[in-house]
Amino acid sequence: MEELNLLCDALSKSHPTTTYFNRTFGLTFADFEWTDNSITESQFDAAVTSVATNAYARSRKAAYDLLNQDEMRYDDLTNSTSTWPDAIAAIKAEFPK
Amino acid sequence: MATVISGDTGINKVADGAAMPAGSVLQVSEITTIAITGVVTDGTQRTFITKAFTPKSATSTLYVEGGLGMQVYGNGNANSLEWQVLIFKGSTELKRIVNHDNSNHINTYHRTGAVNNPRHSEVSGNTTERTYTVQCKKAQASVGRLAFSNAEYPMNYLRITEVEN
Repeated sequence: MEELNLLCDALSKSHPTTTYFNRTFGLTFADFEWTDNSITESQFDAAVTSVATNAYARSRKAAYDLLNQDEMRYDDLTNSTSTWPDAIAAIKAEFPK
Repeated sequence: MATVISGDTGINKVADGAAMPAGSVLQVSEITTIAITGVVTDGTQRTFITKAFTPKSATSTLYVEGGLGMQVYGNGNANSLEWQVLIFKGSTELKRIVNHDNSNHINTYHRTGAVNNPRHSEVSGNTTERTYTVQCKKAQASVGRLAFSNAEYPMNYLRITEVEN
């Protein structure tokens, strides 16, 4: 469902007046029955691509949310350490653009 | 005509041909799965549950209640999302529940509680088969979406309870 949710979000943003019914929870163009303002398969593919393109950003945000960043920054200032930038850099390296 | 029970057997025998006592449950009929599943963004009213029902008595009361489990996605829309759950008998609307996600419109959340459960009662009137349905529609097209699934959101049902008056 998560992948379908992301795709539906992308469709809502790129084609806000398009409505549909997806009976199968599938992710292909054929899985969507377009009701109003149907889109083309190439437009659909663009939405799929946008979801894939933003995957790194979602992964990074999920990892950032696990950090107690305020406390890390405070500790770095107090102790002259670099735990916060190190952790951010590690996440960026793990999920490259 | 009221349902009758035999006086030939049983404890505290009743007179043969007597009507069932008031309050007796004559039958309960229930279905707990939806016929169609999926993700909906359009405003089409769809039938999710269908149940044919034949009363045993023409003088009984039928308590009809239905419910749909679903996930409601507000997804940051500026407006509140409205959806409706309805009970029909044939083509006649019996009850309509109107729901709004109100301040939750920016969020994704579940709505599977009593707000999705329309109820109705009526006198059976005759013993002719009739068909009840649970339907649902999203009131505004292109605002948010609804997801229906027997596996993920299983609180789906249509129940008819027949009680003698």
